[in-house]
Amino acid sequence: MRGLATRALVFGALGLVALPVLFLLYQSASLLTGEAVAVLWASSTWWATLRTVVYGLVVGVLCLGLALPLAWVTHCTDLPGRRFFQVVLNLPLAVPSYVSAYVVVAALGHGGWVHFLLEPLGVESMPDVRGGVGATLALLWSYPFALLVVQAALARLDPRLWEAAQSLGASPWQAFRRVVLPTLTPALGAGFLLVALYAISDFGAVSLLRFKTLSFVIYQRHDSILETYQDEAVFLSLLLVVIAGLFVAGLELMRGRVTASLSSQAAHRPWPVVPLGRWRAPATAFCVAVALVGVGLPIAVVAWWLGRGLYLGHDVGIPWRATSISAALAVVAAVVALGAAVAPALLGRFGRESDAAAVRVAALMGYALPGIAVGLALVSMVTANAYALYQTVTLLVAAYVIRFLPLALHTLSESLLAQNRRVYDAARSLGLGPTRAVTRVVLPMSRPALWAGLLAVLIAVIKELPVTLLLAPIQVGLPGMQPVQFETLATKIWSLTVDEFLSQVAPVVLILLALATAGLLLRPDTTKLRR
Amino acid sequence: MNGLRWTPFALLALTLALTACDGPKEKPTTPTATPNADAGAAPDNAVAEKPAAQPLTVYCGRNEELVAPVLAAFTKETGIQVTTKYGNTQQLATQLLKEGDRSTADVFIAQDASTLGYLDGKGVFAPVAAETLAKVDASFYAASKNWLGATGRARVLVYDSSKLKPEDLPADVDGLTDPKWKGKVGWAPENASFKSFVAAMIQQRGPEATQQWLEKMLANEPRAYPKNTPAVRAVHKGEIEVALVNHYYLFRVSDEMGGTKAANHYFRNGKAESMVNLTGAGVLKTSKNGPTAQKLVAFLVGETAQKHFAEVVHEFPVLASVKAEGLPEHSSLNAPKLDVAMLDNLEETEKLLRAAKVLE
Repeated sequence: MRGLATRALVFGALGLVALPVLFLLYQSASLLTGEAVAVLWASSTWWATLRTVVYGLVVGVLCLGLALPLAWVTHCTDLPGRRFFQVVLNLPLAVPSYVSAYVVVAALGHGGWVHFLLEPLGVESMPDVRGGVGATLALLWSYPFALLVVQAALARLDPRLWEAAQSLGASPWQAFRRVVLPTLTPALGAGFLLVALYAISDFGAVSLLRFKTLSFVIYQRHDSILETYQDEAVFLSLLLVVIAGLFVAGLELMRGRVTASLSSQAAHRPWPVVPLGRWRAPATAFCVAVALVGVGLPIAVVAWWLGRGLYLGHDVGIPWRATSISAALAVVAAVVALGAAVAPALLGRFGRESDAAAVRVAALMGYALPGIAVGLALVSMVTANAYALYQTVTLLVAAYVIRFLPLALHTLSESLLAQNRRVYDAARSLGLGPTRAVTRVVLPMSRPALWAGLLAVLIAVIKELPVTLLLAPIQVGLPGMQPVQFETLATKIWSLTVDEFLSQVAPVVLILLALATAGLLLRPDTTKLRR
Repeated sequence: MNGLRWTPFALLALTLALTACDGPKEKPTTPTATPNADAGAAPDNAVAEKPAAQPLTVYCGRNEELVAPVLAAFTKETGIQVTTKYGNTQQLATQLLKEGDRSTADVFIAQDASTLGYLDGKGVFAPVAAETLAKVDASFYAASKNWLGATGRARVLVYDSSKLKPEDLPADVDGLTDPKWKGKVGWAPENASFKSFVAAMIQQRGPEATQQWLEKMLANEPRAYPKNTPAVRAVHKGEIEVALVNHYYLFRVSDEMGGTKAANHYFRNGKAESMVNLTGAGVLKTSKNGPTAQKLVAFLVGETAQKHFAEVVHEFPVLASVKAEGLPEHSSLNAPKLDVAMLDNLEETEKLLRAAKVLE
């Protein structure tokens, strides 16, 4: 675990993640004397920065507000249908922001479904749902990022703590606030961070709803054919990376103040132990409502498009090509990203505390790299220095790996937390060498964690838009096969919705949702302790 | 058993497999392919010796749903395979500039004239064959003869016909700055078609007057949409009363919704708001298949393609013999006399839009 080779692997993988940032730095250094650097002082940049920060904070807090009660009632209480809700409430993760943005407009916009219900009551016009409000609502679909983390943390929590607090006379609320909540703080922080960083780097919702965050402005700059404006995109991307970095750093500092986790390493009895009592009905209603909006609403909106299209006799086909290209790319990228993440994740869990901290920060830093920044950096990098890689599947997969290695690392690390740290030491003390201890004991025990990491990247790649748009090859094919035009489910959804080909886009969205949902359903329950 | 030991080999194998996926990047060049400078002028002897036409790579800045049928018809008629990279016109133009001499693209199909004019200014196009240019009126191609318009798109005011009659509508865009339109106008300021319209206005009125108009418009709180189609859909739903867009989006929305109460109003006042923008195409100077690429460009202004654009996409054909159903006569639009290639004052336009705080 502490060998030089392991370290080399770890730093190689993390170096790869840092590559786009390094190139952005290099690029901006060479542009410092140009006029583009002035964009950093422009008032519009500061407004965009402010919007970005507030957006991240608000979306993070709101999603945490959804995730914490959902995790508590589905994990620790006698909620009816707990197992069902534990799975279903994670499914909104399958909905990309460039789809949820449409769902928000269809539901809340003028002439939308809510308006339809309110019209008989005399509501003539609906407030404009575009801008910050709509973009925030569209990103609420990302709450499962936080939910997954909090669920995992609750699973590690020994219910006897709760029972002890109660037996000492604490009310349920006191026991939750003074015993459970402090142990959850690191998980809440991580969940908040995941959601906030996702919001900061979001591209789909802010573009479609015209909320002028940094991502939006960067894309506008990139869209321009004027060189000065493209150069400005470099500085703005760097600014975005810095903001995301500050979020990570802020949270890492807060984490340092938390007292050591109270979760027990010893065998404990299973949850649930908390009777809901008269809260049973409202809690159930809350879960049902979130599931209906999170899963039911997107499907209903898309089914509505499909139904209208079929009724009007539109030509609606199944996008076989996009589906197979998306699936193949996702599998390859997920396997490579996971392969690269295994060594750092193991080091993080079984290595020294300092290694663990470095790996954790690196994993989170990677999240701070918005897709649009990764895509822009790689395009400039290869057109300038490695043209043979330009518009190749290899580069696209490399970009996915760079972008989602941190996700693989993060998911692996979270899942490995369920493993006893001492397993590795025990294997060593029983006479296994370091490599064999890993391959014969640690890895087999980590199989659920590996699956979870693989599927997390798989879903992320299928949903990823900006990287795919920026780095798309012209055509793809296998040796001995006629190459076909490149497209993925994500790029197809994007190009079809630009001109509102809604009936044609419906089957594409449904397939994307089905693939991502399958990934989520296959995901093993890594919260179960194995020892 | 020993999984980890095989990881590097597995990664290596994957990398090799990926590289294989990409295939050879360079297309083999035919020995007889003529250099591009005279690609348009001297295809005859080249064609005689050439065994089979090389496949073409097209960068297309227009929607796949609208253009793919035309390219398929081209392949069917000529047997020439076409691989297309679809994307946003401006982004593809940027890519072409970045790729420079190394580009594998043969033809660029663009959504608006200003981008074509800008690229032409950077010298990326080879001349369009003279017999192709001869098919259309001189107002439909660049003065440099390096690119050619394929269809026309008129600027219109889309209005809600359930609330407004044509006579309620203003005579020009200055009328939209009247307080009675406050909060009722939609536009799509990031869109290339809007920028072209502003560029035309700058040509006609000069930058100061254009900026004043933009600022007055902003004071009237227009609703901004990410694209033209959502703006038309907002009129359809009654969210706004009028929208400044191109004419063909109305047909798109009407098709999608199964009819609409939104309707097109052509200003017909000879000002920028009556302009007819061009979509068009050019052959890349770096193309190694110049003569074949010229065939595709010629096909775009041929009968088959023009009929598709006129009847399915509802754009104004550039071929005089093709008539667009449901559209007014092109000559009745009273479009301003603008040299389309002069619309390449993009830089000034973007700066002005930012100065007026219409764009970030």
